Amino acid sequence: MSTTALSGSANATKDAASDASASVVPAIEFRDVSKVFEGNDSPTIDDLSLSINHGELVTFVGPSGCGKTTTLRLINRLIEPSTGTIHIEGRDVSEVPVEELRRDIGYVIQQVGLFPHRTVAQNIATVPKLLGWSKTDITARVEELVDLVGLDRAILGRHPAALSGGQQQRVGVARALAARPSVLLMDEPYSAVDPVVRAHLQDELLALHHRVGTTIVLVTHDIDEAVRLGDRVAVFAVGGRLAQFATPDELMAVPADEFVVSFLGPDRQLRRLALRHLGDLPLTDPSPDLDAAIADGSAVVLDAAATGRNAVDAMLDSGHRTVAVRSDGTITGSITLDELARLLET
Amino acid sequence: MDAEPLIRWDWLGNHLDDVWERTTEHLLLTVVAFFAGLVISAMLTSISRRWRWTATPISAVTTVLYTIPSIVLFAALIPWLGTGLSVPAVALTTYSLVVLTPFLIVAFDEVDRATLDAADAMGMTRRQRLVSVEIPLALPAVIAGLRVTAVTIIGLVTVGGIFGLGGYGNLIQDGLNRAFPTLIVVGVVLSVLMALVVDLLLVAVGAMVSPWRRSR
Repeated sequence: MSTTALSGSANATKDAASDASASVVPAIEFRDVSKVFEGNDSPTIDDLSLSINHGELVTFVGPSGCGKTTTLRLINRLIEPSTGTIHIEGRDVSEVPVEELRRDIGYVIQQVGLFPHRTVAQNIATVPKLLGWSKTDITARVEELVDLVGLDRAILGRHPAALSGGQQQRVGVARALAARPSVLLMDEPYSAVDPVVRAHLQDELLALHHRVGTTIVLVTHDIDEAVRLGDRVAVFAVGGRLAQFATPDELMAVPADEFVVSFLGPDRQLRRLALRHLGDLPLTDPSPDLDAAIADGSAVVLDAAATGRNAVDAMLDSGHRTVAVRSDGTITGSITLDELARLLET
Repeated sequence: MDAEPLIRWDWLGNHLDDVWERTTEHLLLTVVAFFAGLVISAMLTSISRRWRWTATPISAVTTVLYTIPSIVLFAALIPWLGTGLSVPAVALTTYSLVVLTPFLIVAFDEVDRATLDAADAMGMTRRQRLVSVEIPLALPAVIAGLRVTAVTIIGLVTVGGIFGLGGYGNLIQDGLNRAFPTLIVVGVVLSVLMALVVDLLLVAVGAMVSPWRRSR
């Protein structure tokens, strides 16, 4: 199995970086990047500087025309910047031969763009084949990927037109990950599928990211998707200005400006609570009082996987001010409305 | 005097050699014009795709050529090229490329943009993208264009026969001159048959080269 020079150096840098945290080389770095398209007066991207860490899942979000997709396409050089440089693992992408660069970057788009004349297996094998992997390596990898994205191996011989939208999207992800790229780019990957399938695919992406640890950049126009998926969220304003780059919680706790406030919408504090699972919060230990409250129905019981927002809703719904948290059938503690509110002050 | 019947089978039986010679002429002219037209159209298509500004002049010229009536073109070429097979070959190739080029340009333009975007993003070179993505996906529309072109040429070879330029048209012209319907009927029927057979062949080729379209 062959790997490109780029991914070879990537692994070396990754190991070195974990030892010496002072000189961490970002997975992706934009340095003073601007892009003005021919015939446009104003820039699509205006002096962007931004670094993305190894293994991070970063979402780019903003209204249409904010340059988020253009920014994404600069990374694999589908678009070239007017000024500034982009670096992957410290290497200026403009100095890497473009085909070599792209074979080390996975790319998933909204329309999926599977090759309709090729089977699912052939589609997934595209990049390994370009890299000259052996037949046995390719077959093994294709089967591994189909399992990884949760598809049945029976579809390997089918053509894309015979698949559902959700299945096509999963094949698109498998194809993008086939040659173990350093970076995975996703451009509005879920806007063409229905909401139920979208929620499924989002969960799967988080699980997948947890397992393979690839650095992911995902573009979306949906702020809910951005904060749900992103370790950090980059909010772009029209005119290609990076308005804020922060964790979802920071973003909603301390929005940088009026634009971000309006883009996030009116219920920022509830959204912050929605990002926190009860199982992860500091709970008051179980006590005989709590048992009694549960027994006489004056405490609501929720699962540890429920969010702070679910808890507030349940309290408002029931009129009680305490929620008991249950994990695997046993009560692990409780939290009150006041305590939840205090969590948001920090 | 008895009315001359539409077809005299005994004449046909005695002149199979003649009919066969016209058939090979007709087929030869068709094949030459078809492939010459295909090669030139492919070149024009690739030029218009590489240098976008050439697309408008190319389509303007092919459209203008298409408006020249075939009889006029045949007649105009005879003083230059004599009465050999080169006149029909040149005239028919012209029509062939004029009919086919717009089909080819559209066939390649219609290949899904997102699919090409994905091919680029996966690190295919221009040539790899052309051979393994663009051509296979354009083929069904290309075949549709080839069918129209082939049938058009077969019909036009017959028109060339009016000037004695070979093919079934010679039979028809002879029949008209001698008021002998058998020749006209044989010429027309065989010309239509050839068009049908060639068209069916191309349909079969189309189904063979794009099996993925049937598995939807």
